[in-house]
Amino acid sequence: MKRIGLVTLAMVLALGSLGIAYAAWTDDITIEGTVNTGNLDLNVVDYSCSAIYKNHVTDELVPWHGWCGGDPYVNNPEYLPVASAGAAQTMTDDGATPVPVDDSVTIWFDKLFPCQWLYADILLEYDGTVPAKLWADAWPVDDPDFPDCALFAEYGVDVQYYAWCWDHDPRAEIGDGAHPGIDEFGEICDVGVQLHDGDFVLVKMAVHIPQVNELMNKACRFEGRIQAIQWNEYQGGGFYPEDYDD
Amino acid sequence: MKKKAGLLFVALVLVLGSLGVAYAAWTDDIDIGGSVSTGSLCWKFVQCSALDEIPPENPGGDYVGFGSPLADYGCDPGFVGTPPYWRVDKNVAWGDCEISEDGKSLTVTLYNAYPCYFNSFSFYVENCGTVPLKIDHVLVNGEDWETQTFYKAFDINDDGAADFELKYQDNFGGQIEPGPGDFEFSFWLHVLQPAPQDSALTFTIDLVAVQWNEYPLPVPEE
Repeated sequence: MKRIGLVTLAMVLALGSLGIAYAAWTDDITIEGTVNTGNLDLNVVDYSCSAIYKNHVTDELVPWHGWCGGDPYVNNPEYLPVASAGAAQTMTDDGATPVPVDDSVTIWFDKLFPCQWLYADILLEYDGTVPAKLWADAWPVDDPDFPDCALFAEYGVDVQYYAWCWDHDPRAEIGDGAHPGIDEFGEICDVGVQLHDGDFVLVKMAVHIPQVNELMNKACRFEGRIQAIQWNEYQGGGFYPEDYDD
Repeated sequence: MKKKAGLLFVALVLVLGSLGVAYAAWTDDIDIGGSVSTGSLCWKFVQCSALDEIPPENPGGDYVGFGSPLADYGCDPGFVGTPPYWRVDKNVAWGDCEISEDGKSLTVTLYNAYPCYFNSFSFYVENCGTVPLKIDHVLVNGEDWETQTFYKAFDINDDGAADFELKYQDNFGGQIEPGPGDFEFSFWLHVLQPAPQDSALTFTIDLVAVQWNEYPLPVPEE
């Protein structure tokens, strides 16, 4: 009987010692974390076109500027189209059926002649959840099919950019008829202006050809970029990710 | 005959008596009724807060001015410099935290975060058991066994660039006695430039406590 008691005690001690050697009580608590990021989203919502017509009957020069598609003179045989300009969403050009290219705009100024301003506007809406600052830049492109950019610069082709900002959709105010000219929207907003969700920006490009014969039948191609840059990272210029080292 | 029977009876009584002397003795027993009640090792979250937990009225960002108590915080990558870092001029992002009903899980969330945004979370824990405990290690996303203050940069979308960074710097080896206490923890979060837009980036941190007399646990070999 005494022997059995000793054996039991030994086993208890042995098991106990095993427990001490290979385990310890632990308890876990868990942190579940989620970082939801916002976005910057600048979208083109409308385009303007402009044209200059000659009235066959009166010989009058008739400029028109309005939202693309609203030109009352197009296809009117009384009005001869002389020059035109405008903007539209870029379409693919790879031989297949063209499809729109997101966030890409094509601007054209065609058959310009001296002393007449032509315009192309882009109406942008800011849909981002993070405030942004606006930046825009344009530069001539070295293209053998459009070799005359240097000539344009030499003879002072006047290319101007303007922007106006609203905290609401301005199309009702601007109207569908004659599009106001450069100075008719009040205060111009410049690059660096802050954009918040629901803001609109009208970016206007205007081109004027001086009275120089050397500019006949010349062509220059340009590219540009309009950027929304998160407001707290704006450094007074365009944002090029490769320039940033984080 | 009657006398013989009487002698035999007496003899039997004596014999039985002598046997009794030989095989019994007086005894007195005490019985032991034993029980072992184990204690418990338990800890839980009891309170949490975020440094910036006020959402903007306008999700696109309220202009509140530099230095406003409503303005967001920003910091440099790597948490360079001395906190609390700087405030920007807008209230755009915010954070919140929530403790589960059983206190075992703390959910922290940043909303509408953007590169440079900084927030920190503080939380208190309580030893809900009967055994003192020590904070042994944490597991980050179930893997990294950390026993010291640590910094981690998370590349959640596997594009080779870190999306946000976290600094955790509290209380390893700290002992928490049973009952209500004031043990505070905190960690920092900072969103980095490569963070993808419109995304939910998640992580988990498991905090493991061990009975005080077993601290530290052996780090498992990889």
